[in-house]
Amino acid sequence: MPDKKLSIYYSFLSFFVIGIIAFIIVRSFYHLDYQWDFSVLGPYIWLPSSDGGGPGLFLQGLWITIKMSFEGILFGSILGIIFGILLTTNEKVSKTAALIYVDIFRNTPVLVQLYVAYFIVGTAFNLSGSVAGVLTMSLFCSAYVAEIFRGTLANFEKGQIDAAKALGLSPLQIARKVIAPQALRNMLPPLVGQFVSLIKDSSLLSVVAIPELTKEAQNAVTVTFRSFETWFFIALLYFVVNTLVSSFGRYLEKRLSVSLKQ
Amino acid sequence: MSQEVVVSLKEVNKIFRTPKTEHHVLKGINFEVKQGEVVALIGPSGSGKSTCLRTINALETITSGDVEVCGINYRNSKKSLHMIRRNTGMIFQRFELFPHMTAIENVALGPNLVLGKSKDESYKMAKDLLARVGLANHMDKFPKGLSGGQQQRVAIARALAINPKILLCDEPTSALDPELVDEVVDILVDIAATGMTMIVVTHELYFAQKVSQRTMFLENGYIVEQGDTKKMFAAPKTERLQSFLKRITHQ
Ligand SMILES: Nc1ncnc2c1ncn2[C@@H]1O[C@H](COP(=O)(O)OP(=O)(O)OP(=O)(O)O)[C@@H](O)[C@H]1O
Ligand SMILES: [Mg+2]
Repeated sequence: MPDKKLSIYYSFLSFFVIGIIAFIIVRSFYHLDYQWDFSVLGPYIWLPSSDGGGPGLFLQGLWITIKMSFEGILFGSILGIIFGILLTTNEKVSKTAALIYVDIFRNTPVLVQLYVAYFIVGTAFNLSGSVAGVLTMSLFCSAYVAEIFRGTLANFEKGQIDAAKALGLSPLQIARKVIAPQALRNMLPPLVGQFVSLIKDSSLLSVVAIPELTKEAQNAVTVTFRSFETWFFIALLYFVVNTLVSSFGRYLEKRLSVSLKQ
Repeated sequence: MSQEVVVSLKEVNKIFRTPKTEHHVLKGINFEVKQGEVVALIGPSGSGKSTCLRTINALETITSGDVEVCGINYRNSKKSLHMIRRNTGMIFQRFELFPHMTAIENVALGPNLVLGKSKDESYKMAKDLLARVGLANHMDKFPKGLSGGQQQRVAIARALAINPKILLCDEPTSALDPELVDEVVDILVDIAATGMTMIVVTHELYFAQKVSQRTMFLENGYIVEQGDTKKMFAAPKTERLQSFLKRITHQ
């Protein structure tokens, strides 16, 4: 807890930092000699009635981004828990295998993984771009989920397990009633962080010609030459989606930790 | 008082092994505790008191020797391990209440899952026990909302909830603010008075004197001296115990 006196310095420091950032941004935009025109984005957001109306390419792309990210998160979490369990067992072979898996997917660029999945594996097994894309995102995500799972369990307070054992609970009862509820809450913040970063990484799917949000933005830029407007708007869409995801995570975290508060 | 032996340790050795080091913590421990006896275990930090206590309910495995609780040796089967833990309750220095459960949920968990009682019955039992430790008005609070003394009393109720024959206490008062020590000591003394068999690890000599008939002094993995608590504290026989008592009363 910072004491009263310190908190004044903290406020001062924040104002200082915010001030500097604001100055840099304002000055940069002031020097930018550019006629802003966001109106060209209109038809990309919502089709004009002459074209029959309905969601424009950006919203369609957004939907694909959301859908594929969701699938990646879902399959990634399921796989991740399986690999996470393997990582926490004492069985040497499966543990090593899981470790190698996790290391490969965590320590290589997603872009390369995507190329391999699409051009090499995808060609051999005749996978479509979206299948290869979801596959890559799932595997990539699962490596992080596995590591989060392992880390949370490794840091789980041993005293709690001792207390549960001393009470006479069976291993299964300990896992379900004592470890799971607490570990789940502890895992939530890093998991949500991982999901948010996966949604951002899904922009890489544009390189395998999947018409997701970033791909649609690239297409729009080549037609309109309005790259600033386009990318700012796209960033806003990512921001909205990810803020919703983080807020939901925070809400869940709060609900799960009512018990941990005063 | 019945003379049935409920806890017996024979030539118990415990060596903690890491790839590089070996740490011989218990060096041939022998003792017996009879039903209804209250025994204090004292000794300097690191002498192996907690380890010794934890071998009794098999939270710690032993390297050699034999531990028997109520005639059961946990080496025999998984079932006997479970039976030993059903027969023993444990109280920890840092309470170790389950933070995601209210006080009453913490206490009702054992009866419900371990004794197989219905939810209603378990809650009724938990209610009675919490009332007994003076927490009738705090049953629906989560551990974080309770003082240290209150948390430890919930932990005592939780340990008693499975109707143990033996209560193991590992420094039950040493994480408490001084003004909260007495509320926990009083309850443990009350429990001792009901005829519960207890083994209490403690640094507080006055607590040891208040609660126990017999004391064992553990140092460096050996039981150096044991005997009647009052006599031992009044007239320690070994030089080691003398200097230990001197050191601890000076603090
Ligand atoms: N899991 C473990 N692995 C390795 N060494 C251990 C382990 N648990 C305890 N020890 C060591 O065993 C020795 C005895 O520990 P123990 O906790 O039994 O002492 P204690 O008498 O209870 O001390 P304290 O008064 O500080 O609680 C210590 O030196 C400790 O470092
Ligand atoms: Mg100890």
